[in-house]
Amino acid sequence: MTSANLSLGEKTKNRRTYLNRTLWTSLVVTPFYAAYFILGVIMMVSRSINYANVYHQTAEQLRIEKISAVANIVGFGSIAWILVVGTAVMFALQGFSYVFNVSQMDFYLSQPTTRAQRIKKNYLNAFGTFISIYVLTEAIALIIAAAMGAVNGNVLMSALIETVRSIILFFAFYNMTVLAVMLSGSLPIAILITAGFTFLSVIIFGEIALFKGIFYSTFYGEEPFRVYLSPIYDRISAMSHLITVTKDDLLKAGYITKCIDCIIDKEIDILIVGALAFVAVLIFAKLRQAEMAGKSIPFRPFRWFIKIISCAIVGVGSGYFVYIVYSSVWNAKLYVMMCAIMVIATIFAGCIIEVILEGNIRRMFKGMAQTIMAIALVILTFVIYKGDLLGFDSFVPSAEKVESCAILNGERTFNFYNGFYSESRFSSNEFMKLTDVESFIELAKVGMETQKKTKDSENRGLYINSGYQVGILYRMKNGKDIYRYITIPYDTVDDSLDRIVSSKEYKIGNFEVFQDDYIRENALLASNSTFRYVTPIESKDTKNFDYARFSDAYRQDILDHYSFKDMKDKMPIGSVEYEVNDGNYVYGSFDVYDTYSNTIALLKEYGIYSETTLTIDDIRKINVINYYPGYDLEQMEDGEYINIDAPQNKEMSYTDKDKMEEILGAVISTDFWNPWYNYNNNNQQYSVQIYTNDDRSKYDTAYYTFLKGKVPDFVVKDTN
Amino acid sequence: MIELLDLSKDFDDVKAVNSVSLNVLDGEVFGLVGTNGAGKSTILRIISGVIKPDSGIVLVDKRPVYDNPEVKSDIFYISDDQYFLPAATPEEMANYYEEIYKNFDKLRFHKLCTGFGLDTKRRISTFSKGMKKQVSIILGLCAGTKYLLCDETFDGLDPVVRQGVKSLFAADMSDRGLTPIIASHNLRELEDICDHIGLLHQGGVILSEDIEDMKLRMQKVQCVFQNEEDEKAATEGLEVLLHERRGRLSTYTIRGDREEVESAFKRGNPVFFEVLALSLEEIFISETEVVGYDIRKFVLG
Repeated sequence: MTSANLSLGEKTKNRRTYLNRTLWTSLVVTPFYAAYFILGVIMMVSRSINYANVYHQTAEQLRIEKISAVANIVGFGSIAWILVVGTAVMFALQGFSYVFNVSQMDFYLSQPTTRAQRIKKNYLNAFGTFISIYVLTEAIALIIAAAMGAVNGNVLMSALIETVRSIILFFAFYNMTVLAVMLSGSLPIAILITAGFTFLSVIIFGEIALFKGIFYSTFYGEEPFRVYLSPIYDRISAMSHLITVTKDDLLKAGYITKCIDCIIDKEIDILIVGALAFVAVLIFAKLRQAEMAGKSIPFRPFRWFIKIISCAIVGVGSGYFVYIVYSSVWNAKLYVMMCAIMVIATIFAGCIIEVILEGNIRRMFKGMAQTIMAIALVILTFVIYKGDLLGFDSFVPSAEKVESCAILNGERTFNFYNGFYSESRFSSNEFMKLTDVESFIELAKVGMETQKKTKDSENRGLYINSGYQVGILYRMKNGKDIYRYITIPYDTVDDSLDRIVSSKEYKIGNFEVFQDDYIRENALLASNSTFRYVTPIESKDTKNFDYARFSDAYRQDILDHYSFKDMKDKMPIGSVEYEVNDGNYVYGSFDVYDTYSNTIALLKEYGIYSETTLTIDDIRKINVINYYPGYDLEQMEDGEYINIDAPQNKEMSYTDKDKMEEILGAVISTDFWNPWYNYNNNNQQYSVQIYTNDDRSKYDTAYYTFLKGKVPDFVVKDTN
Repeated sequence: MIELLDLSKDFDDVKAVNSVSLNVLDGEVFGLVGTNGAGKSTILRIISGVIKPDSGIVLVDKRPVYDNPEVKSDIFYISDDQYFLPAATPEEMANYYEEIYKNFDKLRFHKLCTGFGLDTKRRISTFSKGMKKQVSIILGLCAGTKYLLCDETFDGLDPVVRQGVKSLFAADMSDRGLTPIIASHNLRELEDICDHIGLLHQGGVILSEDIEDMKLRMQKVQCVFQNEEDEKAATEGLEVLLHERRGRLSTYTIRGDREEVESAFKRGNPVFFEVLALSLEEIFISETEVVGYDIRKFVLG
């Protein structure tokens, strides 16, 4: 009998045996998939049922919890991607490791097949096996979930999309690993190169961001960190974006679209990596020769690339290390040392890499040409950043290329904790769309110049408050987002700043209260909420209020009264605090200015408003502390230092009505923050502590600061 | 027929195969002999399509072999260190090859395994080196390919098995026109099986000839003459390759056919004269020393 008359059954049996023998890792990973999907669904759904029983959840709430549990296992919340990555790497290494072994090469390549057919067969085996394992275990899990009443259309669709995502991820990692195998001559080196491919772009983009932070004065530290061509980063990044989709959304029609919006760009990136790696596999598989087995990296240009790029990464990374070590005492002279250490680290890395690649410690000085190239690359990087050869700190886009702009506000009005995690729904990056680009650019130009001077001063050890430090964003018409950090100088571009700050676009994008629909929804169901008005001298609260009414009034006040020119010389008179503490926790804080008539009227209606203006009759004593006796900070030049060994803190108490009245006329409360207030107007040398009469305030004391140039002579005399 | 024409292959700075030209005729047993590193395995790997030569042409039945499944289906390559699938048994390897070689004869495989005393259900990894070689040879023979490339295949086989394998080769050559190509560093191993020998050294071919032709064209003579003049008269005009003398007994290795040598020696009226059978080893020593190679290291190998 010859193979020409083999039955289908015999062929299938032979194939199964072959797969078991050549892809035995599939037998290892299958239990893990079964445990994750099947056991995972059973455990998570039964946990939801138990939780509902213990805490008497409604049937509807239980349904949401069960569906959410299943979605976390098989849908967008799945962490099966970790298994997928492991499977892809194992399958690729096992399927193609024959290229490292001469006898295996002889065995496979002498058979009547082409190299292309052999690669195709390996791919089909790997993909077929992976998809079979994944889909089978997932399908069983979904059937069980359906039987437990924990599936809806969104879950099924998300499971389907997640399966496609897993296949894309498998495709990327499988190709990356096969490429690493094709480019190397031994298994340990192939594993190292796979790790390199996995993290290379993360490291490069990370070092670029870190260097921007060190060298560029206008680099915005909170600029979104985006890495391209890194499947592992894409997956983790997608997970963090998907957190914004809540479990309540699972019951809504837009759930799938919302999730896809969070992940689509990352999935495209993963797909591109996979496709690029696949093309490279085809090229290098053709170039690779059987006799390359056993060499560490058989392709000489790739060996050069590996060494140069690895040395350069170590060299540049060491520069950042130097910066970290000296960050608190950084000065311009340290750049020289930084550069020298970068070069030394590059040479050292070159030696280590040679030892690894050659497997021989005596060969550490081999390949000096590549080390020299790496040094050149490191020095070039240093020069580019130090000299700002790319013009980062001077770049201002032309107005016609800008779609819209934003002044970035990192502060949050609300904290919302829904029992599992904090929800973050506001970002000025997203909501502020300033279209007065001309005014914005005028502002940005001045702001960049001032920021450069400020950073330069900081590098010389001088910390000068020269303006409003803000992050800005240009949304370009080509879709690119450009971030910068600038210092808008005080009293220089007030007209432009006023035009921007007074605009509705700014207000809607800057104040979170304009995006508080979820807070309003939550307020309707809140069972334990408090509304409080806090001033420097007292606070009052109530439980009888309507959050939506307050929100409307506060929004109107902002639209009507908030402007730069109005705010630059005053401080908030108080702050409204809104708090919910039931199943969810909500905290909101809203500054109130004296011009906020709608808000103040509502606070009066609720009976919690209190005047903040103190008269001499409200006060029983004032204490003034001079932190730097013997000095006058207002008269000191930049760069002039205070002797820290000098006697510190001299305190004086005043009860004399005339003196207290004079002090009262020269102070301002700084209990609240105003981003547009020029804090240079305040004298930082003194602290004023006002003791009120018992009937005037619940608080015993309130803290104030002298305005510059208004410190009474008797205070100066008494405290020096 | 397998034709190698001006074949070269370098591994970095090492010339593994250097302008080799050889022809392997159908139905003959071709022996490739050479020291370790002479290029035997590289040539077999090139013929089997594992390695692509840097230059030169390899044709199997007038067809290029590299990346050509149709041609490779006529070739079975048993490497020096034959690979078997992880944890596989002979039975599973037979199943595997059954899918690959359309003429694989499973029935014969079982018969041969039984004949050689090999358990087809036992893991090959537990077999001895010789048993693994036997499995390889049986798989190669049962694959039913026209060409069987054996790299040091007889190394490790006991004499009885070796003889059995030789018989199988002979039977397959007779029955279905098998053409084995056997690489070895040991001439003695090939002497009684090969029809044609190619001698490799440092990547190049020193010679390539039919053994019978070589034996017919070279004679080994032991003789005793009355005096030196007689001896001189007898050897005059003959191409003497080697001459050794022990007392009065002379041993000559002479190129030429038997009749020619006999008639020449009769001219010297020898006291004693006998034509001896030449071993392959002696032929090669003679031939290669003429061209300046120290062949002893091959045959003692």
